[in-house]
Amino acid sequence: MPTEIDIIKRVLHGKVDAFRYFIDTYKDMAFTLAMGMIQDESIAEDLVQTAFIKAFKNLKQFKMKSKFSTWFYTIVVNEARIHLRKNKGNVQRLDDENYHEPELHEENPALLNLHRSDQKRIINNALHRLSPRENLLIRLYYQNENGIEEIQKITGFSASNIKTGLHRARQKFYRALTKEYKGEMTALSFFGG
Amino acid sequence: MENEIKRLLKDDLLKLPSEDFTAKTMQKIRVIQDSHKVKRRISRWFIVSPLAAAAALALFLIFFWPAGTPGTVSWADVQRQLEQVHTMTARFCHEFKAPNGKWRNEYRKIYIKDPGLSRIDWCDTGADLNTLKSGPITVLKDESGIHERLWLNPYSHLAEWIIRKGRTVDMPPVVLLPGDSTQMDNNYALGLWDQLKQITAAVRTKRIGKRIINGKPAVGFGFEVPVFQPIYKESTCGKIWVGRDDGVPLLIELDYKDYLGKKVQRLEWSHIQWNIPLEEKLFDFTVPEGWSLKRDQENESIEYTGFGFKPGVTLEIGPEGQEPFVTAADIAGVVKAERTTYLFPKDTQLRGLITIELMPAAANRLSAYSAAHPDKIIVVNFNGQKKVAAKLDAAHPTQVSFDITLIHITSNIWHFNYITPLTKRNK
Repeated sequence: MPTEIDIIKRVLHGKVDAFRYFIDTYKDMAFTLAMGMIQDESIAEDLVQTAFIKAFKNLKQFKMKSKFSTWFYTIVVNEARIHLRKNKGNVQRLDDENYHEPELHEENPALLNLHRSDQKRIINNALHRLSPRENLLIRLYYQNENGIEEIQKITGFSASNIKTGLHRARQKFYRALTKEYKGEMTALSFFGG
Repeated sequence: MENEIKRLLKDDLLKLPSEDFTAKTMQKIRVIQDSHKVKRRISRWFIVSPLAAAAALALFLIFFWPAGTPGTVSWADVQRQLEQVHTMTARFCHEFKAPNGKWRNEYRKIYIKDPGLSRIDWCDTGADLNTLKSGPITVLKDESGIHERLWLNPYSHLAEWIIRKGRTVDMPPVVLLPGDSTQMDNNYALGLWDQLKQITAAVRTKRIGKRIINGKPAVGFGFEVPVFQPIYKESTCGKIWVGRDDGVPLLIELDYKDYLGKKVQRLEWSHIQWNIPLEEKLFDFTVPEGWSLKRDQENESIEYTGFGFKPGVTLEIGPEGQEPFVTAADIAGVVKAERTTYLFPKDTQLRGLITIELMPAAANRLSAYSAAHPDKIIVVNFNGQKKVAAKLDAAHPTQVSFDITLIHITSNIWHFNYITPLTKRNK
């Protein structure tokens, strides 16, 4: 089984098709990260595609000291940042300052008893309530299971910022989750559920 | 719960791009790779086979250069061409803001012949480039530090001849057309020409591209020339388009801006022809018959107090053919000397007038005779040179003036040869 380094070497020797491996392996997470920050599917997809093309063009510059995924997600995050900067006035809820915390604070273990599809929708909605930065941290830490050091490399944030950010993001996520869950319950009872 | 959410996020909440995402991305990557391959191949080819590369480059230039093979003309070539220019004709366009705020173009035909001859045919105001109908003409000559300008206005049949010390470009503005409020300096055309010839090879220029001008392939140079107008930016950017093969200027454009960077005016020389034979009659200073001629004049006036004629200067005043009533001994002093000449040169005296103060008895004799014989002319015989009419001044009955216009002497000569302080004379 070839390693990622082997595949990179093959690509650098002109075997372009070998690059497909990286696309297949990282497109979903890259897209998820981009979606978390941009929240527009077509834009996020374009950004990820641009990130892959940039990765391909600059593959020679990849020193192979870190994981390819870390290097590549850095490109994705940078692309998303560039987009956010360019469209600052047009996109809502882009940064922490624009985010209003949900007023509900109680955790709701009953969430776990819901149907899988309902859980998914509620978590999704809760994630939407987070700022792009919080979204990114939550997804990298929980979803992609990146450690603090890797998140540091991908985002460029300091370790303490990541820890604080993660703590705040986690709290907000739970609160948003509770609010989403309560809203879901109200809607269900209204329709006789 | 955290672990459960982690599981949910990881497994189910992964966002998926479109199904053909991988295919689309790979397609783009292959295109990039192919273009890289071509570039690499070309660069390798150029390294391995310089001869083949040179041939390819030549072919490329022949087929893709808009005007055939590129010239190797440099700014120094242009400079050399300018130095070799002896005659030039051009159309000159002046774009400026009229008093009503609208932009207007005015056209002129320019003829220049070294050394120092030039002519501007002013085209009718508002005329377009295709119907250049000449209006007034200005002929200019710079010779030995003397500038001559003849302005011929066919509408009023008025010729204005100005002669000054200095060069054409130092001349003040003249009014373009009667009734036209635009104060246009016809020196613009020539001044710029002068300026252009002064642009040395050391001036920083940059290539600005290539184009076809009047069917001739041309390359452009951008340059900067200083501007000495108060409200203007201190320098203006110009463009000169020269023949690709010979470096001969074909089109010159100059845009003037004010200190705020706002366009003030634009000057353009086009249809330039160099070193073509230009007949002398184009620069003829003859005023057409029947035209009135106006020349710049200057009045000088010297008032004297305590001055008289030098000893030996004779002056007699009396009726024509009779014994004079007044001789030098009857003159109390010289009051005033007035002189009108052309502004330049001043050697042609247009009018000269001397006013003298008579002794009261002599003044009375003269007044009495004049009153008794109003039909008689009283003449002045000044120093035996000319006899001219005396003019009695009613306001100052003791003063008499006489005309010395025909006596061609400068005011200095007049003063030193004939005038002296009375105290000195009486010693």
